[in-house]
Parts: sequence; structure tokens; C-alpha cells
Amino acid sequence: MTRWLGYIALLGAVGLLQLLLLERLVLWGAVPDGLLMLTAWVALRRGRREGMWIGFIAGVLLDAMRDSWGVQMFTKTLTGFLVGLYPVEDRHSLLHRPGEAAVVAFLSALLHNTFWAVLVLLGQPVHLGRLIGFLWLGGAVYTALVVWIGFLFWRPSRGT
Amino acid sequence: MATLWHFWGRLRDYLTLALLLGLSMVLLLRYQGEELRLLRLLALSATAWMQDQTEQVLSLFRLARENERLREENLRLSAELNKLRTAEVLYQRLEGWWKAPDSLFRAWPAVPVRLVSKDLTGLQNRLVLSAGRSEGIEPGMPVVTPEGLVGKVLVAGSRYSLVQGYLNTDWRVSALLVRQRVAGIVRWDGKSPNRLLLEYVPTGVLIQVGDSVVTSGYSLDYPPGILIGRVRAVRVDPGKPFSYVELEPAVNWWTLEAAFVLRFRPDSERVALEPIGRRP
Repeated sequence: MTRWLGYIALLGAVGLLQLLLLERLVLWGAVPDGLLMLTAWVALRRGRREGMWIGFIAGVLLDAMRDSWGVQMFTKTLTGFLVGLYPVEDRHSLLHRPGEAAVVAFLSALLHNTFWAVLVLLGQPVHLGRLIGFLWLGGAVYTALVVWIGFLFWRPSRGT
Repeated sequence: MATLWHFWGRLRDYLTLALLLGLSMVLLLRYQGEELRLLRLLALSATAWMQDQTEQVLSLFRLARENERLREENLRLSAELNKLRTAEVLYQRLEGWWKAPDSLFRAWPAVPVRLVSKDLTGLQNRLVLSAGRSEGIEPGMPVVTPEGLVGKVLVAGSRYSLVQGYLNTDWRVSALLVRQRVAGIVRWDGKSPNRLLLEYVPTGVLIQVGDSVVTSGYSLDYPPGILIGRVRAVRVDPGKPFSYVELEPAVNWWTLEAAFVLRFRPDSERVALEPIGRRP
């Protein structure tokens, strides 16, 4: 119960960070996805169940921000679940190196963006080159880069 | 029962996943539906309010930069305004020229010139024009504007000309009171730049303030009919044969920026005859 309260606080904090800062860092249409990073972090530490629920709530928050109801819920729930299928054994050593954090962020974002791109392609006609170049791959790289820069200044403590 | 419970334990996460994904898909498919309208409205209001609050805080940090930008903009606009004001003055002047009667310009070809420099404070004030012999300008040619007479060319270089204007104590012009058809001589006494004197007009001639004075054409220097000025004051001193007549120059020396040189040449036979008549 205490852990879930912590998750809710984290979701609120990262949600605010996403809304007030990250959503403004638009680069060729791509935006770093802080809520996805939280989802992946929880999923890697706690497994598929918690990853799935955190992904779902994070998706609700992001859908509310972007008025894209259902899209982020779907992609983040699925990403949280899939990333949570391979939890790390030593959860306390997780993400203590910026390089590793960036690689994990990139792979998670790439997985998430794949689902998102499929949904987008099913829903509306879009320029495929732009979708793949800027939003699918570029978005993942951008998110990983922001994570890497973030981890240069702050690393989660072992007790978290 | 135990089997069912075991089955649920194994599939619980998958079933939850399916449920959450299903819920997401329903929302995705019913996105435009009425059911979601209130939810979307609430979410948009909340996020917009938060973004607005943040924007207000962030705007404080942008004030210095904004201030700097506005200062630069202000400077740029001031410069532009000054340019426009100058352009407006020029336009009004040129518009006046356009509407001016062009009988003079029809009679003699006119060379448009710009003033390169002008004296303002001396007794022999002169003008330098932006055209010379290469444009067909010769010494002695009159310089005019559509408002009236400016002076005559003294020296013509290849690209510049020197003009003796009316604000020069050596300048004289044979003039004619238009209404009375009485001739006199106009000169500048070197005192006030806004005053010329019309001399040698007999006291018996009735002159009124506002009467026009033009070039008479009696001398070889200027063609007839160019406005020199208008009578500003008249005085008859007892015992003197001529009236004291003050004129207001037709052309404002201070605002003069451009003019025309009339390619006027006196009739050659008259040029040949006049010196003979003056021989003692």
C-alpha cells in the first residue's frame, strides 16, 4: 500500500514535469516521454503487473494532457507489461549508470513508439518517412538522450 | 474450485492486461462520442489552467529579453517613422510641383537638380547643384522651382554647378509688378533672409500688400514671368521719388532641396544689339 502511494506521488510529480517542461521540448515533432520512463523503471524493478498498472495510469495522464484518449493508455499499458516480463534481478543496482539508463530508455521508447506508430497508421493517413524518422526512431533517441542528460545530474538512490 | 483458482492465478495478469487494453480501445474508438465529452472538457480545463500558471511564471524570466527586443523594435520603428516623415514632406513638395503651372518648363528645357550644399549665413550665399556641363548647364542659366526664382548659375563644372541665389547682396534682377505693369530692380540688402527689396518704383504707383512681382525679361539674365515674390510692406517717404517696397521671396531658401535649371539662352541678336545701345 505504501509503495502504491509512492507510485501515485511519483506519477503526479512526473506528470507535472511532463506537462510543464517536457511537453515544451518539442524537436521536429518529437517530445521526451517522462511518464514512459517511469513506467519502464517500475516494470523493470517490479515486473509486469505493476508495470502494466503504472503504464495504464501514466497513459491516462498523458491522454488527458494531449486529449488523445485511449492511445497512450493502450501503448503504455502494453509497454509496461512487456518490459515487466524481463525484470532485473538486482533491482537496487538498476539504472545507476547514465549509459545503461539511456540504452534501456531507448529500447523501451522504441517498443512503445512501435505500438503507437501502428495505432497512428491504422487511424489516419500520415507521411511514413516522417513517422518513422522523426517520431518513431527520433522520439526514442530523444527520450534516451534526455534520460542520459538527466542521469548525469541525478541518479536514483539505492534505497528507492 | 482449486483448479479454477489456480487457473485465475496463472492468467490473472493476462486477463487484466486484456481488460485494460480493451478499455483503452473502447476509449480510442469512442473518442468523438458524447460519453467522453465531459471527461475531455475537464482534462483540457485542468491542463490549460496549469500551463497558463506556468506560462505566467516563465514570462517573468522572459521579461528582460522581451524588454531588450522591444527597445530594439522601438529604435527600428523610430528610424522608420523618421524616414516616413521625410518622405511625406518630400511627397507633399513634389505633389505641389506636379500641380504647378508648367509654362516655364514648356518654353525652355529644364534640368532637374538636387542641392548638394547651400550657404545660409553669409552675405554672398551660394548653392551647389548636383549637375553641370555634362547635363547641358551653362553659366548664366536661371535656377527656378515651380514656386519661383532661386537665382542663376555662376560657374558650371562638369558635374556640379555654383549658383548665385537671391540671398546674395551682389544679386540684382529686373522685375515687374504684375498688376501695375511697372518695372523695378529687386535685390537683397543682406539683413533679413525673408525680405527682398523692390527699388526704383515711383511713389505715384499704387502698390498693395500681396501684389506679385515677376522677372520682367528686360535684362538678358532671366526670361519674363518667373515669380520673385509678393509685396509684404510699402512705404512712401516724403520727399523721395521712389517707394520703399518689401517683398517676401516666393522660394523658401531654408527648405530648398531641389530645383530646375532652365536651359534659357537670350536671343543672339538681342545679345549682339544691347551692348551697342549702352555705348557712350
